[in-house]
Amino acid sequence: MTQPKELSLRRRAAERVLETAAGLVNRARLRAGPAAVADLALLESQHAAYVELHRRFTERAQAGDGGLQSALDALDAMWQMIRQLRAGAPAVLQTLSNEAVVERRARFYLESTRLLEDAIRSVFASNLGQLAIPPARMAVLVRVALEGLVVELAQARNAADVATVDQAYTDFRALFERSVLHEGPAVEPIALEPIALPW
Amino acid sequence: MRYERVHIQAIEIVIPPIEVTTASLERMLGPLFRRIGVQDGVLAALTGVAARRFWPDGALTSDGAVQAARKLLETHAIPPDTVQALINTSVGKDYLEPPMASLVAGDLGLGPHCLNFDVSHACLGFMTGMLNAANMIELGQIESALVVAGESSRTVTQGTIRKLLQPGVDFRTFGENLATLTLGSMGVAALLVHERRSRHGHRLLGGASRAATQHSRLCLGTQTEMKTDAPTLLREGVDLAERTFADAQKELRVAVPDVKEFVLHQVGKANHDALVQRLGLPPDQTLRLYPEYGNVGAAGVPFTLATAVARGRIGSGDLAMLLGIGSGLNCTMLGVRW
Repeated sequence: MTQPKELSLRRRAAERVLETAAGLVNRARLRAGPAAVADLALLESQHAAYVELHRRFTERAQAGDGGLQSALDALDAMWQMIRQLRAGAPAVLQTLSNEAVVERRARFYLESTRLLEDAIRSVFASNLGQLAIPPARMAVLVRVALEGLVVELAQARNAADVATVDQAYTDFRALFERSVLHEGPAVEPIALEPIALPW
Repeated sequence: MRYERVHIQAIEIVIPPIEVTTASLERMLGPLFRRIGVQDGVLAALTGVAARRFWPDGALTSDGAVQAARKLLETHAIPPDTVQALINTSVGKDYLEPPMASLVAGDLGLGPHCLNFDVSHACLGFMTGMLNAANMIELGQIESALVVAGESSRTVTQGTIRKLLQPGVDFRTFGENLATLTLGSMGVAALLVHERRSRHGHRLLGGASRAATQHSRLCLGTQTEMKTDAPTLLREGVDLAERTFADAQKELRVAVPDVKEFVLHQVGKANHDALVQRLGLPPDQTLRLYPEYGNVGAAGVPFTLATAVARGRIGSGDLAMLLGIGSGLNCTMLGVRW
């Protein structure tokens, strides 16, 4: 069993890696040199942060601490991770559009969506029948919303712009809190169709 | 291809003694199901497989083939020294060497002049083994050949369960490994003979084979796991089967109404339904054994043929068409006048 102190150390280390990667991208851009390596570092550190969050919240769900509050905490933790990217904000947009890292970026989206789906299944394991939309699509929705906030944050030029993005997150969180679960009884599970098997 | 002198003298099966239900596998996977939010009953609902059989712990894969062959020789009073070739066609292997056929021939005490070798052709193995035996008989090289297959799913199923219970396994990984949990175990043997030796007149007519090896990497299996692109494999397999079926009908000059029973490789509900629909087969003329026994690899087609005969679905003089598909992809369709 992972001890709380160890958890906290691991979390702080992940945050530091993310901040460093964001700073690296910025410096590489300022020097106008090839930034692909720094872009990759940023994507890798973002991926590592997703893995860490996934681990933290699935362990928490397995310990019996799942449900809506746990999901909101996870959302907040992801938002905190995005806010830390602020250090490298001017470069993030370029990282997202850098053709040299297109394959890694596609893989990052795929892997982060997969981690999100698994975390949603874990956190809402006892409420799956009440989820407003299925876990796979919910994962895409959350990922798209968060990446949208990353882009908005990257374009923020002053404190007022940042405050607008903060408010957007707060509103998204409130919508999520109100609508992620149906009220009332669980809806009927979708009928299972037979699947293809190898010959 | 057409054969004039090849008959099926006998076919026997040995069903492994231990039934393992899909519900019991789901109970073992309970911790994973609860963690990833999968409901009980999902495995059977998705695959149509409700149970499979295991050999006792410690049994070799070749043991199933040996038991089936021994049963055939004893039941039909075939002296072992009259068998001139033994072809093992199992997907599973006990060792890289010796050939499984040598293990089986040795255990049966077949004579020093009995050719023995393995045919490795995935789930199509048994039918390819029958073709090899039939070719030798038709050419006059031999008069009697045993074709055998023993399959065992215990190791791969248990390995998959262990893997799925590891921390960090997610819904997608579960989905990727689901097919492995449909595998079953079985032992089968068939004796093919020259018409001079035939006692019952069950004639192997011939048929057609086709390959689509551009799809050879859609299903990669090892001793402990199987990685597949099952939807593509299903689609391409059904396409290949349709073309092979057309070839076989032309070669044998037969049509669907002439056929009493279509003996299909047993995989799962979606695959079976897709084949029946695409080939335009009458659903009540295709026996489904996968619900109780799962996918028993190379043993699937002969197991289904023997069961159809035992249940009276195929009688003397009836035409049966055997359809096998194997990873690779390869497909063979053979006609038998029983």
